[in-house]
Amino acid sequence: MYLSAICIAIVFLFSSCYTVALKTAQGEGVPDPMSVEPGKFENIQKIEIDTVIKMSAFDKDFVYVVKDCDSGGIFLLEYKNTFSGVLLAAITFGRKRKVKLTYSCNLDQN
Amino acid sequence: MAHTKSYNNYQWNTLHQNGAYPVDGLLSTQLEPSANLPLAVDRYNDAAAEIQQLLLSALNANQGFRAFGSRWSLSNIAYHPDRMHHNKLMNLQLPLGQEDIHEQSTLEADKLFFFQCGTTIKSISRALARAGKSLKTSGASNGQTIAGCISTGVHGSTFDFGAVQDFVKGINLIIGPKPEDVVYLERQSEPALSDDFAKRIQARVIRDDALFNAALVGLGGFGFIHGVLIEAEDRYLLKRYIKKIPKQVAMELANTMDFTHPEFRIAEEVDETGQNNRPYFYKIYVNPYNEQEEYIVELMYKKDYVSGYPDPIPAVKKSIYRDLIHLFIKIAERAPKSIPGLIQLLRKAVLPVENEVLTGTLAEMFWDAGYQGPAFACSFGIDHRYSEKGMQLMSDLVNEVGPIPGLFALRFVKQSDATLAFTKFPVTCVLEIDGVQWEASKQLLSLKEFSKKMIDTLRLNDIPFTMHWGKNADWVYPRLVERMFGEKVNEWLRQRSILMTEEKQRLFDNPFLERIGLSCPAAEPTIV
Repeated sequence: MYLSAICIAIVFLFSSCYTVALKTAQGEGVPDPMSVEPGKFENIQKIEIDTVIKMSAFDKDFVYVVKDCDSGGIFLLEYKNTFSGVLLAAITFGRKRKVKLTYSCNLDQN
Repeated sequence: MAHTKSYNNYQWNTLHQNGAYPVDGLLSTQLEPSANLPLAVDRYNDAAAEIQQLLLSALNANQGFRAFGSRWSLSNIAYHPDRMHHNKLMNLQLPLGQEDIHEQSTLEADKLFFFQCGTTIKSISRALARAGKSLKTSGASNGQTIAGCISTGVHGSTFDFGAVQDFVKGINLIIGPKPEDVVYLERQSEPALSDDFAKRIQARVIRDDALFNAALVGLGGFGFIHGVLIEAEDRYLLKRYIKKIPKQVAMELANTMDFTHPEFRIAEEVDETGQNNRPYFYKIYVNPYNEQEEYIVELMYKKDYVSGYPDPIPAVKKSIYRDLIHLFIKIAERAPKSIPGLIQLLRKAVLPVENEVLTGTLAEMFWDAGYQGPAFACSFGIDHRYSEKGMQLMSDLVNEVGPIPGLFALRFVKQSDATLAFTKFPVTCVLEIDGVQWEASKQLLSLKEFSKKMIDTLRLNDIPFTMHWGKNADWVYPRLVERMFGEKVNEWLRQRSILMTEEKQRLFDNPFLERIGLSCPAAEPTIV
């Protein structure tokens, strides 16, 4: 019984932690020589949003406005879902949502 | 004014982590916003003034200065311990009109485009696509800057055209801090842009074939490449096939470049007389540890552009034949995390056929790189007539002195006019091995030792060769550059000394040029 519950919890834990990225086929990230961490954002600007938003139980939509993309476009956007985020939403009945986004603006074609 | 951020004590590295190298000062120049300088040419000249300030500062500090873009070279050709300039934010396109074309030019105005140094192949392709045009060729991917491509000789496998530098028709160099140090170079035999255009970018014009050809693959030693004039062509589509064909046929095609070979046929690529169409691109993949009777070959055929073809990018993204290192990594993913385990896997691995035929533009077929992590890559240029022999020698070598954790591929590139282009043979067979980096041990010789043995093997078998400037090699091999290029080395040095004083040459010298013996000024320079 306990073992089953632990297994279900582990499955839930792993399946609730994932990332999804969106990348434009023709775009290009803003170069940043100081961004050396291997991964999707290596060599390009990396802007992170890691916050908790408050919503009412009835809200289904939240628009987060970013102002730092001069080109008006985003090249790469990564959304990360974590177990702690799922847990937070669950114990607050959806009033608090953890948002973890990483993005790079599209490079202006000058 | 364009402004430059500087970072001290930077650890510079190549994209594929072949370093790291300490740098005193890393500089990165950002253009003046267009709101303050609306005209592209004004922003371009403003950036030139900023670069000249940086050069003056380096000269005053008695330090060297080298530019870099995407860091795609695996050799340390771009590296300088003093000051390194990141130019990827310098990505202007200068619009050209009929009035900018030289009156004696035979080039078509609508096919000429002028880009600033840091513009990537991907950005250029996007700009050309908006005008219904395409690059004539590119490397296996699109992240390199145009200045980086031509400085090292980036190539695809277009045996009837050439490498990236071969569509360049003009180069704007900044060789020092004075007004006369902004130079616009073209061939005398192929004038492209008017003197008025050169005035607009505040450059003095030099039209000289020998100087242009030397500066074209300049290895970073001909000053700061600020802008490049390229010749594009009308957009076209490429139809790609991955086939498995008898090894002997694959190699005979390589040795002869004769695609009318009676034992080679792609049913869809036959003309109305029953003759095989001539491909635009030909590449052979070889696993030296499990050589089969058949080789995987990749062929692309040029087609007229028509809209409405299926989007090839999802298939390109998942194809294992995106480029050689991607193929290797895809195979290596299944191996245990040890070199012996990987080699065991390679001994069993049979390269798979991909039956899906893809159609797309050049930019789509050679889209974003699939792998950008740690890697090594060595590329030799040999006359295509030695393709089979060269491949056999290399295959034997890795099995004798190896194993080396890598796979081979052969690509084919038409001869370049650039003095030190490594694609120097009428058709150069680029014989390349890409793989993961490894620690040398009693069982595994080092990459440097392996590189030396590859050179020794080609020399012992009297196969003339060159090596890709941007790849790994035993660059300290005795008289290496002389062996590869003979008298052309002196010609390159002479042209450099004609363009630049010794002080300026030293400004752009770096450890790579010193190591290969190209940092020395020629005797009796004559200043143009």
